[in-house]
Amino acid sequence: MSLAIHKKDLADLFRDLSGKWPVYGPTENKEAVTSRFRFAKLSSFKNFAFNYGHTVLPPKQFFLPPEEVLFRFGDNKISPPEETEIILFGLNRKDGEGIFYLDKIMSEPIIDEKYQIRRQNIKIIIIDSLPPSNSLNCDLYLQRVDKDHYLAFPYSPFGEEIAQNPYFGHEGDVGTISTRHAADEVIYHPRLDKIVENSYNHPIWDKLADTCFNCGICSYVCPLCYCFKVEDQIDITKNVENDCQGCRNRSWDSCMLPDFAKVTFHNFRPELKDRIYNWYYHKFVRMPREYGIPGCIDCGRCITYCPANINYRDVLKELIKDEKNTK
Amino acid sequence: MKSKKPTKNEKNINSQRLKVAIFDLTDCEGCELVLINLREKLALLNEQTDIANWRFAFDNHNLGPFDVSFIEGSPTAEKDIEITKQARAVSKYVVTLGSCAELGGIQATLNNNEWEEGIKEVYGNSYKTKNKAPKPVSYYIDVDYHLPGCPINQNELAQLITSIISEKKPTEYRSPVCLECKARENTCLFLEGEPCLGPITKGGCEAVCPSRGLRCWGCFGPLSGGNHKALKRNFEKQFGKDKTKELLKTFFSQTNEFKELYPKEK
Amino acid sequence: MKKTQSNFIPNKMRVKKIIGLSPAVKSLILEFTDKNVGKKFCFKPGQFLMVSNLGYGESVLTITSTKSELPDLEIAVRSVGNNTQSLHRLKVGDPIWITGPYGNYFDFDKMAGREIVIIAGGIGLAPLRSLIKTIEKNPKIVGQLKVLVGAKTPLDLIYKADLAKWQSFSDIYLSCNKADSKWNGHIGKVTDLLDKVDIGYDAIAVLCGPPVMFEPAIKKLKKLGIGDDKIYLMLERKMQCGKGKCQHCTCGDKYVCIDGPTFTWSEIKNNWEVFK
Repeated sequence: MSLAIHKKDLADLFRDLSGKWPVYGPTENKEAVTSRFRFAKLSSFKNFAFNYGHTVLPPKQFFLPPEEVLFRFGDNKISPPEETEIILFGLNRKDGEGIFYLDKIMSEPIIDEKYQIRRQNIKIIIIDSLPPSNSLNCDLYLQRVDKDHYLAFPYSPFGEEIAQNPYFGHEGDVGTISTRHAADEVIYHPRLDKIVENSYNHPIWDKLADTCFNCGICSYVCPLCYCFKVEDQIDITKNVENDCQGCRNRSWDSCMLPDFAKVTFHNFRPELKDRIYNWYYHKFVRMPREYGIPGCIDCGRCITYCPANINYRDVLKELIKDEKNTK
Repeated sequence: MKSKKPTKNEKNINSQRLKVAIFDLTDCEGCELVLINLREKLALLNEQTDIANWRFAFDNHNLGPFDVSFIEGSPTAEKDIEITKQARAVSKYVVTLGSCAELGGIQATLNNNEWEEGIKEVYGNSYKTKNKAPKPVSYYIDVDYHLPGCPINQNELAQLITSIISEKKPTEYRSPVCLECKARENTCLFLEGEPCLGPITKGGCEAVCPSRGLRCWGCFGPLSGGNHKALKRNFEKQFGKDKTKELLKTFFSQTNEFKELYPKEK
Repeated sequence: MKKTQSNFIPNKMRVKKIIGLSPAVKSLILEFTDKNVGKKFCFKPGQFLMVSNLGYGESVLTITSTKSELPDLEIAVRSVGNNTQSLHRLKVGDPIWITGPYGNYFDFDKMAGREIVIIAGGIGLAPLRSLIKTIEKNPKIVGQLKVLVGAKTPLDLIYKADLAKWQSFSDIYLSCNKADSKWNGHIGKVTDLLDKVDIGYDAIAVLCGPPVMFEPAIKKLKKLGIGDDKIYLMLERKMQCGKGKCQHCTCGDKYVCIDGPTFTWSEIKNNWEVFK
C-alpha cells in the first residue's frame, strides 16, 4: 500500500505550507510569448502552473542566484548573511534531476559551503506524471497517476512530516521506481566524451563561431552551468582604506564571454571558437569524467532561448555522425 | 591634436575631500539628472566630495584644479572643444558621462558630409556654422573612465565615485545586456522578431529597456570582443541591409566595432 | 593529490614587515591575528593563497616562505590590478585577509637525490622560493640544485639578497633581457641559459614564468633527454574561488586551482589549451 493525495486536497496542502513558509513555484504569464513560465513566490494555489515544461531560469536561481552576497565587511569584521527557509513547490522531475546533479557538483571534490548553506534551507516538492528516478534530492515526490490522484513518495524527514498530514491517504500498489532509459538521447551516447574531445579540429566549431552572438544566454539558462565571478563592492558611506565597509558579491558569469579567462597581461581564451568548444568540452568531457554525469539534463532551455538558433543536439549529432573523420 | 593626460596630475587624493567638476556639452542633460536623482546618495557623497563647478546645479564656477571632471555630451561647438581640453589639463581624472560623451551620441550618427548637408537643409545655404560634426570626447582628449548609457545607471555612477575615492579602478569586466535581462526572466525580444541589440551590447543598465518591453538600442556601446559580425548577418537576413546599418549606427557609429563592420564608411 | 577545503570566509592577518624587492614587487610578511588559527595553519611548498584587502578583490599569491617560518607567512605582490595595488599601499600593522592554502605541492620523495633545475622568469621566482628555501634548510633532500633566473633588467630582478645567499648550496645563473655594462650575468632570455648550463638527462626541471617561456624551455629540456614526467610547470590562470567551481582556471581537463598549479609536462602535453 502506498501514500496518495487527491487533487482537490493539493490546494489545502499548499495553503498549509504557505502559512508556515514562503512557497515558490512555477507560474504562468499568459501574455508573454517566449517566456511564459517562471518561478516566483506563490501567493495562492491558483497561480501555480502544472506541466510547465520549462521556465526561463532553472531552479538553480534559488541555490546559486544571479547575484548574492558572500559576506559583508566593515569595522575589521566579516559577517555572512542569514538565509531563510523556503519551499520549492511543484517542480517537474527534470528540474529535480538538475538540482540533484548541481548538488553533486557543488559538493565534490571540494564543498562549496555557500551553496550548501542555501541548499539546506530549501525544501523541494516535485510533482510530475513520471515515476521518481534515482537521481533526485527532494523532500517529497508526488506522481500523478490518474486525473485526480497523486502518489506520494517522501524522501526526507521533512517529506515524511508533510505526508503525515491528513490529506494523504493509502492507495493500492504502485509500480517500481524507474531509472532513466535514455539510450536514444544524444547526451547519453556511450562514446560522447571521446567524440567531443577529439573534435577540436572539426569544422563545426568555426561554423558556430560564425553564428553565435557570444551573449552567454546558454549558460544563464542552463541548470548545470554554475560558473561565477566574485567582486568586492565598497559602500558609499564609509571608505577609509584598509577598513572599508562593503560586501563581497558572487554573481553569474559565462565561459562564453570574451574576458572570461583574462588576467592582467594575458587572455587565455581569446577566440570565440575556443570558448564554444570549451563550453561543450566542459559539459560532455570534463564533467562526465569529474562527476560521472554529463553536464546536461536535456531540458532544452538553451535551445529555446538562443537568439542565434543554435541547437546543441544538432551539434552533437553532427559530431557523432563524423566520429571517424575527425581526430 | 588630442590632449594627453598630464603626468603631473598623478598626485594622491587621499584623505581630503574630492574636488569635482561637471561640464555639459552638446546633449540632453539627462545624465546630470541621474546625478541629481542620487538624492540621499548624493548627500552622502557630498560629505566626501566638493562639487566645485556645476552649471546645472550651482552658481560657482571654479576653474580648477579638480580631482575628477565629469564631461557630459559630445564636443560640437568650438567652445565645447575648448572646455574639454581645459578639463583635461586641470583634472586628475576625466570621466565621460553617458553615450554622447563616450560614443558621440545619436548626433554623431551623421558623418562629416551628411552633417554639412543637414546644416544647409535646416538653416539654408547662406548660414555658415563654426560647429564641427559631433565626436566622442576621447577624440579630443585622453579619458580615464567611461560611464556608459543613455542615460547612465545610478548605481554605476555611485560605484564609480566610490571607486575613485577609494583609489580603485572601476570594473571593466562587462557581460552583455542578455545576462541582466535573463536574470529578470524577461521575454526575449530578439526571439519575438525585434531588432534587439542586447547580445552585443555592454551590460550594466540592469536591462531597463527589455524589462519594460522595449528592445535594446545599444546605448551602453558595443561589448568589446562580442560577435558583432554574426549579429549583423542575422539582422540583414531579417531586416535587410539598410535597416541593419541604421540600427547599428544609432549608438555605435563612432566605435571601432562599427568601423570594422562597415570599413568603407568615413 | 591532496584536496584542501575552505570556505569563502577569509582569515584575518596583519602585515608584520614589508620588503621592497623591485620597483613593482613587494614582499609582505604576515602574522595571524588569532594565534589559534595560526597554530592550525599548515602548507607545503608550491601552494598558494587567495589574498585580499577587503573591498579591492582577491589575488592568487603563492606562499614564498617555508614551514619553519610558520605561523608567519610571506608573499610577493606585483602591483598590477586593484587588489595588488591596494596591497602595495598597506603599512605595517594593517589588516590583510587570506583563504587557503590551495593547490598541490612539490613532492620531495620524487626529488630525492636528483639534480633539480629551477627555471624562473620575472616574478616566476617568487612561487619557487618556498621550494628553494626548503632545500636550503636541508640541502641533502635533493641531489644538487641549479637555479636559472631571468628578469627584464637588473632592476627588476627580485630576491637579490636571497640569490647571493643561495650560492652557498646551489649554482645560480642569472640573465637579463636588457642590461648595462655593470651586469656580469647573461644578456638575453632565461631559456638561453639552458644551452650554457650543464644539465644531466636525469634532472628534474621546474618552470615558472610568463606563458611565452614554456615552449622554448620544454623544447630545450627535451633535447637534453629529460623525460616529460620530469618537467614541472607552474601555470597561472584567472581564479575566483580556489575550489574547482568557478571555471575560470580550467585548462582542458584540468583545474589549475585544485589539480595544479604545478603539472608535469606528461600530464598536460595533450591538453588542448595549455599554450593559449
